[in-house]
Amino acid sequence: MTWLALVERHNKIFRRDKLSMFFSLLSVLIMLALYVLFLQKTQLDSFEQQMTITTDVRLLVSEWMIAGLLSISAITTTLGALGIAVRDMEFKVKADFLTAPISRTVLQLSYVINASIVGVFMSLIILIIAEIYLYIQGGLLLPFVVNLQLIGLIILSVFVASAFNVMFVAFIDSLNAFSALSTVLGTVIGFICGIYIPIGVLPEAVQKVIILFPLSHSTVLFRDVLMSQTIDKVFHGLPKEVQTNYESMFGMVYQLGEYSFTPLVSIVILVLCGIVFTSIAIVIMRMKNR
Amino acid sequence: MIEVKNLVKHYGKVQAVNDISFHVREGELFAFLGTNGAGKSTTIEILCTFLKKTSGTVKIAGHTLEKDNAAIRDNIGIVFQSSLLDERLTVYENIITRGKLYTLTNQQLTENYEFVKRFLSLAEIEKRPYKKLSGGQKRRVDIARALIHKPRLLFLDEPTTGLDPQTRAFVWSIVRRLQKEEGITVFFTTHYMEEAAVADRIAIMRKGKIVAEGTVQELKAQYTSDYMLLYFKNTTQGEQWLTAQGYDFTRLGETYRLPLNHTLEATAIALAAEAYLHSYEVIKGTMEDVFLHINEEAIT
Repeated sequence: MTWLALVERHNKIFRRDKLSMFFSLLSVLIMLALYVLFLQKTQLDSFEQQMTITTDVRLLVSEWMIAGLLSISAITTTLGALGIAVRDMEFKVKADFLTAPISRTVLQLSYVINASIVGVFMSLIILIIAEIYLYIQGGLLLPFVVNLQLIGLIILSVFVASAFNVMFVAFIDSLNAFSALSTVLGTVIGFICGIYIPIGVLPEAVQKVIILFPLSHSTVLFRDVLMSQTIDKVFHGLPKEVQTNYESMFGMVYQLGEYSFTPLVSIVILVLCGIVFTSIAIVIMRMKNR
Repeated sequence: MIEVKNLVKHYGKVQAVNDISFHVREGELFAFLGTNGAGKSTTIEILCTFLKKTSGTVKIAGHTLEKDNAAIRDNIGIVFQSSLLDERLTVYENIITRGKLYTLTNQQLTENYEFVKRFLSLAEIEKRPYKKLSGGQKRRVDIARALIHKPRLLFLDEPTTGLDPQTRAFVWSIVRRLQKEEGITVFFTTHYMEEAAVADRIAIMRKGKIVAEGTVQELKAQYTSDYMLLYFKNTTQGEQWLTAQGYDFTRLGETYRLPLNHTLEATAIALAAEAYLHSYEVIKGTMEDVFLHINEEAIT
């Protein structure tokens, strides 16, 4: 059970660093604030041309945003937690671990597992804040089944995201490089997952990039789970086409040519990518040991 | 305890370790010396299983390196030059976390912890975060961490570099107690030659090779000699006397340096020259002299 001891240690170190935990959460809250203050308005305006703005419309827009937030936070929080791995590398703490009879693979996996635990924990906090926000907006609390689905999705997307991040982190051996990577990834990822700008308004080539970027499939799944009830209410009594248009415009359903991705396909893509990313990360780590 | 035969390590075209062989006996205090870049660190990293060797055979505690690395790691403890424990964790948490990485039962771990706590007097600081400790206290905890699985062999890589004299003395008293009371074999490197002098045996590396090996006495006998410094009442008379006796002396300002084959020779010389002498002193060859001599010899 050496891996458990390692995970315990990583986690303790993360928890003792209260300030960095706080900032990690704050960055997500800032995204929420930016959204409420700037981006929400443009979306509501485009709705206004077609229908009156009801509570349900507001809720739909908020849910769309929260779905994006949850999928992004899986990536940023796990990356933050992997900072421990980079620190251990830079200050040669890894060498100290490896004086004990443990394998590099176990050590590497312990960082992934810790990052996943941290990611799930932080995502759950964000979920709670999001539900409170939706409630204030005039919605009801989300049904139990939806919550279960969301938690399942959080676990899946966090697992894939931490495996994805480990691939990059395996190449990095200084904290300076790591903070540069965090900035780059943090900036780009929101766009590549299509959470700021609806996918439908982007050029076709960019749309393809987003759809082919595996992590963006967790965004689609979050949208599917969070918005499916409200969307039926909002588009009730309108032609089916209007709803379908909205769904492809706002990336609730991904379409590549004639093919539309079902949720099951997206889940399979995520699981496969998680496995592939983890394997690549392990191979990189092994290669580093000459 | 350690047997190294024809060990070679290349980095691309650079030969860091060039066919070295040596052995360390069980219970020995073994010093491994060399200037920076001599191949010392590479050798230690290979012995500690961090680095793969290019060729040669190494046996540690009866296990073959690269065949049985896990067994080797269970038998060795390493104190690094810098502190590598977690700043935010307490002394207790740090040691126990590392202890869990070895093949120990919970009971063994608890017993071992009690042992290192007693041996290194950690009772008062065990609940304090590592970062709040003084330099000397940190070093004590580092050693405790290296001993948590009760290794038979302890590596110390420049354990006293950058420490104050008091802490240095403390570290060496611990090392000697470990050797005497617990029978642990100690393999260490240092840049302080007076520290190397306490070793049972010494190996000196230069440019990837071992250029000298033996006990302190043997190395001193081979590479240094004692000498005496003579201060004459009258240098002209003194020099005449020395020349008359046929001594191989060198003049250093007003004093005369005379190499000795044996320390006791000084007594006879001092008695013979008593009439001319103002005073004299006998200087013993040191490990510093051995080290400088070896590195000088190789340069010329």
